[in-house]
Amino acid sequence: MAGRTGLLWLCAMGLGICATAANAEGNRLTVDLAGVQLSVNGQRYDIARSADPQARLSGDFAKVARQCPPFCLQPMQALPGVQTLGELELLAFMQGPLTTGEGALIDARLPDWFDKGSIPSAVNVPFTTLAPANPFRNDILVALGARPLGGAAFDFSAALDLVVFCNGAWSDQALRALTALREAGYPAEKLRYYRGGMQDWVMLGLTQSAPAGGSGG
Amino acid sequence: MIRLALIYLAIVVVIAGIFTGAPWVFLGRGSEAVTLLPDGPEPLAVLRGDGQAGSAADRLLDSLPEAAGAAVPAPVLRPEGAGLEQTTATILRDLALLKAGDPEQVALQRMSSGAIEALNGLRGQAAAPVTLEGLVAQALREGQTDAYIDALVNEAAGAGRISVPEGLMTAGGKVDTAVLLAALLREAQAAARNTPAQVAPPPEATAQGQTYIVREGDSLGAIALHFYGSMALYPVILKANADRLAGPDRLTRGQELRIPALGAP
Repeated sequence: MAGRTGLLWLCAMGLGICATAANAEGNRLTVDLAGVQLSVNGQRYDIARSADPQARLSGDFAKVARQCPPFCLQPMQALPGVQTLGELELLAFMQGPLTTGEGALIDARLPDWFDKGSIPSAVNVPFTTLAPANPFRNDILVALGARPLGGAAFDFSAALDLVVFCNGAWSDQALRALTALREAGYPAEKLRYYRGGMQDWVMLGLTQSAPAGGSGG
Repeated sequence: MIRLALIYLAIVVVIAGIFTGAPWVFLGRGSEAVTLLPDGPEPLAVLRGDGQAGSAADRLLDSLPEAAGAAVPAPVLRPEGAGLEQTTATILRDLALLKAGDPEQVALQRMSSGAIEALNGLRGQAAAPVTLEGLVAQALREGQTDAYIDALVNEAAGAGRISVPEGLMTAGGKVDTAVLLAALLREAQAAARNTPAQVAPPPEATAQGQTYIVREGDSLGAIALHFYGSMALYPVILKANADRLAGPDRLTRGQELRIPALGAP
């Protein structure tokens, strides 16, 4: 990190060759943060910003006039006690609880969206699977670390900290997933909402997981 | 049809009974005691690949001394309203005995498996997710016995590794695999004949009816199968006994249940 800062300093002094070097190295997330590396259960993920100055939104995320309903705007505060995160807080979560095995990043969209690309290291838990209508809902709670107490009772004290996201502020899927989790008894303090979702992630040029096949597990 | 199903149930229950050492007796209509048939052919042979259980089954049974009679500690129950008919349909689809399926249920099952597998992967558990449906389908493919399946399911449920529909919980706190296997057979045959086994959902319960005394191995699903020919109709009994049953898994031995007669659907 110190070396990289030194390099930038040289660039700032007007050495043209360094501009190319910095570009090849990639864009930066913040002045202090060039990128984020994390390792989840042996799998390594690198997250950076696109270095292509010509990059534009295209395809699904270039749309601006999706019809509501169902594509309605979502509140900043998902549910009482559920913290809302921006990208930097999300990245800190990924380097913290996710890396230490105490957290999971949940993509609440349906698999066809997830397969087109997601946030690296995200796990696809579609919002529909968390509704009580799913016979396997409680099996998913167990996989999230809830300790079964018999029947429909669970001890969530050792359950994973979750960050839940969907396509962003125009989609209610993350909110529905969070609501379903709360109704199943998941503690609010173990839930977080990344409201920007894929829309903001893509708009900021952040690294996506490879489409289908390389689904981030 | 109903008689046929009852005979299969009888055979399965007796076979399970032989293993658990608990001869069960159902009270028939009109409250006269009807002893179930003492023996018969293996009822699920048509579902099974190679007939009899291998040594794996015996090893499992040996390793589970308590599985044959003891109550499981506390199985994880499925959310209320998770229908028993979904469980049987899933197993039959898994065994390729049922081709069509509710696409929504198929999708839910696939997405749930994917989610559980990925979440387990976060913690380095590579094992594929296990479900009640998956365990039973696999065991049937291997040609395992009813006793093996009963031990397998109850061990997994007791350890909290699988969730079970509440209608399958017996008065003794076990998972009623006998009624599940009986229903599977019935629906497999119906699927083979291309006639849906599902009973139309809205049969109205009438005021008339009879009573039934709960016995040790009973589940609501088994009682519904016995009286109505379909375990999926257990909510009718649950509703008629709302004042004395906290939930479908709250049966107690000796409890008296109202069994409403079903009106015309």
